[in-house]
Amino acid sequence: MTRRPSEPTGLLASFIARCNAAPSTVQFVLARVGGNAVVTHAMLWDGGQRYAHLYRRTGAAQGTVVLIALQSSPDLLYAFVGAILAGCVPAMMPLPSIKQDPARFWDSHTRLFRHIGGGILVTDTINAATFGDALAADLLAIVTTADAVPDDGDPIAWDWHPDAVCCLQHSSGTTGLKKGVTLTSRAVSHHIASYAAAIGLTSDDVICSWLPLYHDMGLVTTLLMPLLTGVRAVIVDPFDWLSNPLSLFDLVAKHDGTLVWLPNFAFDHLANAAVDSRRVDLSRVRAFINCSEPCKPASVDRFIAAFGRWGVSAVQVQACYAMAETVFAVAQTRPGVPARRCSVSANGLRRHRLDVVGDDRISLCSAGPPIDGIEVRIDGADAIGEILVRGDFVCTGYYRQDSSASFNAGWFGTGDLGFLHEGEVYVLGRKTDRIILLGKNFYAHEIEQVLNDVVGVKAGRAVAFGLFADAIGSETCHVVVERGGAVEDCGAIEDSALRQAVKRQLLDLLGLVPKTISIVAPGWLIKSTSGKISRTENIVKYLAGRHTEI
Amino acid sequence: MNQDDVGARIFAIVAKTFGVDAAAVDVATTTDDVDGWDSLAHATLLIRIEKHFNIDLGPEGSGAQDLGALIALVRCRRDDGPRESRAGS
Repeated sequence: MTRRPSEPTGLLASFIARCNAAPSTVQFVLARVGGNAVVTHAMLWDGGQRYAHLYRRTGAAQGTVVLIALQSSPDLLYAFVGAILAGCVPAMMPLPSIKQDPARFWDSHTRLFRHIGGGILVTDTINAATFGDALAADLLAIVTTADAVPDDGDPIAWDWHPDAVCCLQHSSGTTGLKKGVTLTSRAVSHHIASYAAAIGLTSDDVICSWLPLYHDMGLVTTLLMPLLTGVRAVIVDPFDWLSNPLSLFDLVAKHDGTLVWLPNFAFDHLANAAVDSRRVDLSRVRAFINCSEPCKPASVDRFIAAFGRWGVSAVQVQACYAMAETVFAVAQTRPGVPARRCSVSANGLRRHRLDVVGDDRISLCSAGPPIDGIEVRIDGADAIGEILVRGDFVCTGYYRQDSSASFNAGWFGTGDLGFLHEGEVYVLGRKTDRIILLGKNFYAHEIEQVLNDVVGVKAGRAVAFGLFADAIGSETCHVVVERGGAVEDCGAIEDSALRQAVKRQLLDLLGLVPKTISIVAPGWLIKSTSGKISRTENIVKYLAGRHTEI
Repeated sequence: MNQDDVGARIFAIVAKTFGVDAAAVDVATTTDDVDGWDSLAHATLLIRIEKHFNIDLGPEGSGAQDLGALIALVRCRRDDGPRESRAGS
């Protein structure tokens, strides 16, 4: 192991102190089909140094953005740690799925790369060799894992100023219009301390996760929190987990896991996979934390019913309200105490009122009280409105973007609708056109923009929206497009070909698979009085089944 | 259950999973042919097939490119006998 500074300070202090005191302690376990990889403090330090020196050799300075596009592997961790050590700004990037066209996927990121203004992109040798041209080689210095060789130079450990941006999180699910949330060293440190207190984190905890690290929930709970606190994380690859969801619980049993974060759909996916012939003891898990999608009572109840005989009880299922703009958590129910629910009138909710009596009451899950360091209030005079937040770790804006519209007198508008009840946050839905698909954010207007470029779709005549699907515990995306576009002869493109073109465009550029695609005649979509396509009215029309496909 | 039943039963599971008519799918049907066939839906389909036939499809199930390949895999796994619990790492 290479030499380390003896008196570290700032963001890296705890990490470096642990590297000095307990170099052989395992910090991460990466579980893959075919074998595990363990990563100790010493390995993180040495691996991080290799990457820190690589970035410096590549010309990186303090603040240089380092985009990391790697599979789940020790190098993914080293590349991130190396960026922090070098004073660079790491940002985790998703990789194209096997169904996406890699060239189109990377090409679609060019706008993002131009917005960032250059930097370094870390990827594997195959991506670099095959798609180098599409990776905006004129903007980015592309380095690979093979380049991260040992360096004889002095160890690097950047002394982070509290106000310096130390990490970028891209909040939107789309590509070209991604917003980079800027996280400062102070915000990250304060948030981790506050959130650790809220969940009662101790050194005995073990986090078990399948969450991708380019997602805020994965980045913070599975990477940043372990790095800053020393708690161990056991990570299974998201694709491996999806096809074998119960493998997560095998890891919990094997590694004495105590904390598991899951988006709402994952509770349903796990419950659907439960089989009578197996049993894993989950009684020692302190909390399964429902986050990133609105927590649904039905999903939670299904999960408890499915795994009750595995030792799961209501007291273990907790909820969190989080977003990249606050590093992660805004509110969190407290492990050890059953998460609260309240029953309110559905009609009252539609009138933005909280009526706790009535025959039409529905049950809602609390996301808990705000964590220390953050304030929450509801915009406007009604009990229900947009959730506003401010505090120590709310971001100051998006990377190189005018973010003033998101703030009002220091309060950040979350775009989420909800209410406060007995000091706890309840999230109802969204004020914006955001669609949350399996925990990932998309914006309807951005999907529609992509649809407009499909040959055969009439320009400006497409609508995208999300509908909650109880069977999977998440929203599904539906699109309605009018025929037309570049081919005015409506019969020129067959339905099946247009459908495939729509699918391909959404998959390659957004990684999105819509649940339904409706191809309708010109003039089907309803315009508002201002002449714009009315998403709300078209959802109603769609649900009424009045659309007639050509 | 004869071998032809395997295909029919898988078509029925596909129909239930994706809300389509079982008669509208065949051995040549691919993920591109059915709306909403994303990675979660594919995983859900595999889990339902595994439960229905009491088999373990293993990682090969994720790579099946069409229903013909999936049916062939199920037949192969059924010949191997009932599944053992798939252990995590």
